[in-house]
Formats: sequence, C-alpha cells, structure tokens
Amino acid sequence: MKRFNIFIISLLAVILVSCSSQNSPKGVVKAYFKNIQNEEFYEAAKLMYPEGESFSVMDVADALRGSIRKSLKKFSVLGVQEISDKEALVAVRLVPRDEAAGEELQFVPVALKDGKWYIGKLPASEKSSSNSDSMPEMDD
Amino acid sequence: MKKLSLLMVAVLALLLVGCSSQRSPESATKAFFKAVSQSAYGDAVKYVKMDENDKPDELAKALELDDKDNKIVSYNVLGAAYRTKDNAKVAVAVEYEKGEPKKDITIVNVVKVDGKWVIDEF
Repeated sequence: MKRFNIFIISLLAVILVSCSSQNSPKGVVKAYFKNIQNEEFYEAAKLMYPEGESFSVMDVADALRGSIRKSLKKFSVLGVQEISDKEALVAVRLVPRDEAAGEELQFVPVALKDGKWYIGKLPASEKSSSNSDSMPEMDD
Repeated sequence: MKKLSLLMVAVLALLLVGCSSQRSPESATKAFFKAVSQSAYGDAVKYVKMDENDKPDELAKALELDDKDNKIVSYNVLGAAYRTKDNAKVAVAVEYEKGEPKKDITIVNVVKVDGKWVIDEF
C-alpha cells in the first residue's frame, strides 16, 4: 500500500511538472534548457514551436544535437519581456562546463499556441495587425 | 549638533550611492539607463567607457540624438553574465515610445576599468 501511494504521488508530480512547464514563457525556457543540459534533445525539440506541416520533432532533435557546441553546466532565467499576449523574449544566463569559455547571455523568443508556450518566433500569419512582422533573432 | 549629524548622514549616503552605482555591471547599466531616461545625457556619459580622443560633450550629444530618435519609456535591468572577471553582458528589457519593436531586450557590453564598471557597447 505504501509503495502504491509513493507511485501515485510520483506520477502526479510528473504530470504536474510536465503540464506546468509550458504554462509560462519562463517555464518553457527552463524546461528547454534543462533538457539541453541533460542532453535530452528529443524532449527539448518537443518544446519548439510546431510550425508548418513538415515539422518533425525527430529532425529538430537531430539539428539541436548537431548545433549545440558547448556542454551546458548550469543556466538561470534572468527575466521576461512580454512583447504581446502571444509572444515574449526571455533572457537566460548560460554557464558552459568549460568555465574558461565564460558565461553567455541569450534572449530566447517564445510564442503561445493553443494555450501552451513554445520556443521560437510567432509566425507572421499568427500575429495581429498591430504587431511587428519581425522579431529579434536568438542572440548573444 | 543635530543639523550637523543630518548633514553627515546625507553626505555619507551620497558617497555610498556614488560608489555603489558602478560596483557591478548591473548597477552601472541601471545608472546609465536612469540618466538617459531622465534626459540627463551629461550624467549618462559618466557610465560610458571613454577613449583618449573621446569628448564627453560630443558623446552626450550623440546619446541625446539617439534617444530623441527612439525615446526610452521604461527599462528593467534583468541580470548579467560574466564573460571574464572584467567583462560582462547585461540584459535590459526596454520599452520605446515608438518604433518596431516597441518592446525588446537589449544586451549591453560592460567592462571594468580602474575598478569601475562602465558601458562599452550597446
């Protein structure tokens, strides 16, 4: 009975964590970099904005695996700039395993789709007419 | 005697504020943005790295022109990442009066010169 209770509590915790990670711009960015830190590229790719019919999580995961040059030791989300109700920028401090390489600062665009936040820019077709068509690139 | 004590406290407070505004990359950036947002361009220049040939008046004028082009309505210093012990990048959430995008995150490059943090590039 005790084991069963522990199992149920763990299951609920997992469900809560997976649901809450995309509830906010900060949450999705934290989840994304946590996955990158653990080299779980498939899980990280699932958090990317699913744009177009050709979107494939597996392809994005492969691209991520190939593009991450520095192994991530730790990270911290510094803050959020809300651009509109559907898009935001999140500033993140990245500390590579090789500390001699120095810390990095990135701002990550995030966008809302079907009530969930994703990593990436909001497609122009999804933007209201009052917003800009251009968003800053992820940059350091 | 009471007046003298008050004066001493005020002087000490001013000294502390003066020293602390360049004690970290974040505080130097905050002081710079505060000065620019208050149109105090002459003060803002104090937080910018100067080369031998740079003239504070000219730099203040350039800052004023830049700011009038795209006036800062609000700013929020989010935090810093240290590239080295003497070089950091600071993220600032900025809202402009006009222009696109109106809201953005600016990355400011800050360096330590003679023990004080100053803005190198933004």
